Amino acid sequence: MNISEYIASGILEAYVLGSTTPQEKQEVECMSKIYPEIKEELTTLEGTMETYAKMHEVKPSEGLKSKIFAQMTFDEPVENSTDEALPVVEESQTKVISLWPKLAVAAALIFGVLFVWSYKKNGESEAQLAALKSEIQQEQVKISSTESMLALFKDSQNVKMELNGVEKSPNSKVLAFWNKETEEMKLVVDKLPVAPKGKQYQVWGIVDGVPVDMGMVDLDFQNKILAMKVPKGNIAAFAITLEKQGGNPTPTLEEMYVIGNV
Amino acid sequence: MTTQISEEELVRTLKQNSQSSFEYLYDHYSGSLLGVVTKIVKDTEKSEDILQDVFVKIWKKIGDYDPSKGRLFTWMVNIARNTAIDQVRKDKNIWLEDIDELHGQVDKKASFQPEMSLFDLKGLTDKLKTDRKVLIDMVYFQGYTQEEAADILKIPLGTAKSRIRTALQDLKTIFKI
Repeated sequence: MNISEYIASGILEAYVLGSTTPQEKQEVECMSKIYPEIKEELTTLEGTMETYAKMHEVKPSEGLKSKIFAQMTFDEPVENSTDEALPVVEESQTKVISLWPKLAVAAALIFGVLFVWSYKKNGESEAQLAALKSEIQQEQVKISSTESMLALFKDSQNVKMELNGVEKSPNSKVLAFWNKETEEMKLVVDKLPVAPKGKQYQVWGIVDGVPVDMGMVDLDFQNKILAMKVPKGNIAAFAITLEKQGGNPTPTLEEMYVIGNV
Repeated sequence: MTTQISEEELVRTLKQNSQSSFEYLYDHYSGSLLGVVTKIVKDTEKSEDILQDVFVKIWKKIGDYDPSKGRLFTWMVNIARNTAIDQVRKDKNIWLEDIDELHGQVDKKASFQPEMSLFDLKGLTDKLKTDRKVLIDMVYFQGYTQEEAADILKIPLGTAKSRIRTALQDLKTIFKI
């Protein structure tokens, strides 16, 4: 994306004058987060209009301040909530029964070990066998996915990127491995909230300033390597937004979870 | 005037509902906000009523303000402008007539007969070309969209957009001096 063209398009001016549509507003806020040059220009323009407004200031009459402040209350700091009575009660309760859960856990562990051991010895319970098999299978899947992730890291063809959480979800993180040769991208979700019912994560490439759909993230994305096709063109960033299941033609910017600049 | 404090610090203490910070905010910004409101409602008494609403709204909503999205003043001026425009629309359901009225005013200005009383620019922004200033003021102070403003001035939208851009760039330079 051509940043100077974006700055020259006049949209930042429209933004500080308050004449953008809600969608354009989102876009400007998003772009200024991605590009420091845009942020800088925006801040200067905001400062400019602040000065301009200052020059047109009208001094309020004397009594207005006290009239306004009479409608406001300051004695209660905003964050001072519920932690008063509850913990005391809970604490004493926990003390009384504290030995039992420990014993229960220990007993459960011993039973668990005994179960596995006894079944291994004489192979009685088919149900348990099945359970264990599936467990092993899961472990194998995990191991093989770990191995293939390792392969992604080792592969020198891959450009490794981190898509990091934005304010919506600062802890989110997705790793991306971009093979420019094959124009493929593999994604590994490190941390992303579980998608709520009816929703699904969608991957976008910002190509020449326009978000282009790259595909959906599987609903069950844990420990998976997700393959995406990278669009052609001048790519500035990759981002993931939460959309309705099956995806949307354009991203919902306020539902952006992670973004990574190229 | 009290000493300047950084916007970051101001926002932090505002979010903690500090009375002295809100007083600082009032002392520093009520004039600018009232200026904007007055341009829109054109009635000093009403403007002060609206400023009351605006300031109480700012106090109630400060938790929603997100500094990463822009400066505090931009956020406040949006609240002020929206409250004022809502009030004007509520007061007289003749918003369209109001545009017509302005139509004449603006035509006059567009033919270079500026009414300087409307733009008390203290000489500084005289450097700004009148047709550009008209556009900025229509959009910023009167809440017109760029499309509406272009329509009223009978200029193509592209021209309006580029004039607004040039005007703001000019202002930027003027304020830097």
